[in-house]
Amino acid sequence: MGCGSSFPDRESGQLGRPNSENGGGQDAKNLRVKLVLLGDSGVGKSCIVLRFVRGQFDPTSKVTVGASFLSQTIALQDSTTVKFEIWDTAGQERYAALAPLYYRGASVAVIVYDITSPESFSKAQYWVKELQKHGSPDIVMALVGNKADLHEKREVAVQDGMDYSEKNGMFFIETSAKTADNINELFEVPLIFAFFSDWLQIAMRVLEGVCTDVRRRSGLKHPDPMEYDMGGTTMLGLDGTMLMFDLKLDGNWKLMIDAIQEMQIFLQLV
Amino acid sequence: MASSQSDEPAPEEREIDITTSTEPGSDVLWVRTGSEQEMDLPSSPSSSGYAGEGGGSTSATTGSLIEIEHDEEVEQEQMRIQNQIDEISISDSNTSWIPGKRHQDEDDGSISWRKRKKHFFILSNSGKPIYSRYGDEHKLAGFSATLQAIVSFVENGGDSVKLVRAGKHQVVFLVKGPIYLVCISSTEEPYESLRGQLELIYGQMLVILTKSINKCFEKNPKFDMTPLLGGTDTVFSSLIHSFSWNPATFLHAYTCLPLSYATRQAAGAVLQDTADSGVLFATLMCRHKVISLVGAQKASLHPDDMLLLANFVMSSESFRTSESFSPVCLPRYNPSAFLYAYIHYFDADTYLMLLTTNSDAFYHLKDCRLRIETVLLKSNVLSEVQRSLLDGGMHVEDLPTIPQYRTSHLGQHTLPSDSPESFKEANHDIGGPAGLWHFIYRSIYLDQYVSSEFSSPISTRQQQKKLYRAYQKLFTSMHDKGIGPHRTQFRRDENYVLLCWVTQDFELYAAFDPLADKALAIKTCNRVCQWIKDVENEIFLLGASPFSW
Repeated sequence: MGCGSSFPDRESGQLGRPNSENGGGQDAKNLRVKLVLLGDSGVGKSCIVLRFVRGQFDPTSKVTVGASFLSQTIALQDSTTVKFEIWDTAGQERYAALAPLYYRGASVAVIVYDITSPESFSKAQYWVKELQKHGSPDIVMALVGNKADLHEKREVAVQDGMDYSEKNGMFFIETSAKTADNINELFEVPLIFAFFSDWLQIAMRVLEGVCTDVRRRSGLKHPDPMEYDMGGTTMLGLDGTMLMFDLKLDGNWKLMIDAIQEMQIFLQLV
Repeated sequence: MASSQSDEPAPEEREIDITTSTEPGSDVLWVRTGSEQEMDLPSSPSSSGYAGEGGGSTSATTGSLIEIEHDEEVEQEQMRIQNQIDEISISDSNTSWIPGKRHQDEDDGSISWRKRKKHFFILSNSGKPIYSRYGDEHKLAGFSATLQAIVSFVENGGDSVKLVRAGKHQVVFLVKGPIYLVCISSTEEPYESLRGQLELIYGQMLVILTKSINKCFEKNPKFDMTPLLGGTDTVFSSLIHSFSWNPATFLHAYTCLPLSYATRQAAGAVLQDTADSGVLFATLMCRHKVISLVGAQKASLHPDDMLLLANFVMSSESFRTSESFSPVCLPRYNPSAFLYAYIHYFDADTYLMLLTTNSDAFYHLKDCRLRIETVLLKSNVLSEVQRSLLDGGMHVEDLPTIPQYRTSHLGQHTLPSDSPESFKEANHDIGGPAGLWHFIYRSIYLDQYVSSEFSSPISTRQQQKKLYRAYQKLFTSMHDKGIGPHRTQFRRDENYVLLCWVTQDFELYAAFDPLADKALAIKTCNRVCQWIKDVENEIFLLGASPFSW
């Protein structure tokens, strides 16, 4: 299928928590995410949203006028709910000047291109630049190559998308609204960065500290990563840890957050 | 085929002598604005605008629409294609019309394209195609250049071209700054109607882009506008389709969905609340009919703007999928600025449009909609709307006979059960020689019209279109500035008796059986007017009309 995903550059400082001004009434149990979809016309922005919100796919193309507003609430495993407020913008040129109307105050921007159309990939880069210049500095950006099911017609290599997004500190994923491939992941993963970036950054710092310590003590350049079951007792006497989670497993990343949290408490204790 | 008509042995229709006269006999008619002085047009079209100037290499074929061909083989081929087209249009009439561009593969070289009865073009004053009803705009670059050449040729003479008549074709021009609009039609519609249609097409373009588009042409005369109209084919094709069924396109009035007075009041009251909270216009519509509408103080909504806005919303499928917020321009309100429209469909037919000047108002308008929705549900407005859709509006069979049986309800089927005799008598002189088939009543004061439901014998789409065209012609002749305004007109042909009656307060257009008696028809018209007066509470939006301010 050729769907790939990559993490953003951790040091880029692009990640931030959602704007408190628009995420009004944000409490730990009920989160609100304002998300905007941008990209050339015909790349499938509306199809992605309708697949996510209604589980439908309509192959007849309906041109979006202005912007459509949809919302979807998802429940996480720990009964936290996340309400997505999605602006699905029109890709037509005449609406380009009006885009700030919709991306202003958004915490996540999803920039979509069509993997069969290099023009749409250039247009996506235009949007990235536009957001870097005029968007909120805290906005989390995701680059999405849609129509991944049309791999025989592919004209934009996975690597190109990955390279570009890495350079710009964006999350990257290839999706297919038609087959529903990676659609839920698309909406879940930027969320991690939008809401849990604090945790991630702490985790990175902790890990770096631990690794440096291990390296110093062992004299090894690259200590062998060892897998352990996470738990207070197993961490005792540990020199290093490697955390892995599967983006495609529903809620899997939540476990990692728990692990980091646990680890931090543990490290504070010793 | 060559474009230099005068060089060839000319059959009689070929004698396109371009004159500036307005004699009805001449094949080509140049109607001019402004000066009355004779224009020095060359007698040989080979040196005329489209062959000699801007037409360039494409002129060899593009001039052909104004020519009538007499080659037998070509004629046979055309007959065959015409038959095909007829077949297509007959089968079309039985299915519901689907918006969108057709015959994208055609261009001005295709015979089928040239045989189409009604073409619409939008082009820039540098000759760049912007929109064409049939065929791919890009393939029609040469043809557009020809049209541009005709316009600029006449403009160079300090004049402007309005109409070219060639055989059964009329070529109507409308110049709007850097935008040229052209209609080429063999439908025999009056010039005024076709021009009005071009005005509406221009208005529709403004709804999408505003007049600020002119600035792009000031900066760059060769500016290509087609990308800016990307994805709007359905908006234009649906508007052009409405030229053959929607009386609002020539009456310049809007129509309401029939509803009980109380129901419409309930809808109006909740809309008024939103208008008081900073919304410029709040409109609740069912398809192209108004349920209720209110405007903020001193703001007035022109019926043409309503037509164009409703067409824009209904022809854009995406509005049905979810609530939307989109820039729109109301050309009669302010052609140079965008307003912002919040659009939400309550069901497949009923939708709400809230217009504001504030681009940040989305969440406020969304809240307004939630409040409106609650009230509409509580007061059963939405279910009443669906019921009205099923019942339809005024049926000619229900025309009351005897004044004392008058009722304030629409139609006899809502009469109380103690007056069944009026129901029977209602059909007394419907059908037969005095039979009333259909009518349209336009209230001048309210800017609203009501049209009776189509019933036998005007039952097929083809017959309805024919009657629509007859009304259109009648309207034009009644409003002809040179002759009118007429008070009454009685016209009989093999299809109908048409009766039109214009007063200060209303205009009535009625179609009768072709054998209808004149005196009886007039009597029937009086009864129609009385009937409308009796039910005006239900068929019109009364009071608080933003038009009357």
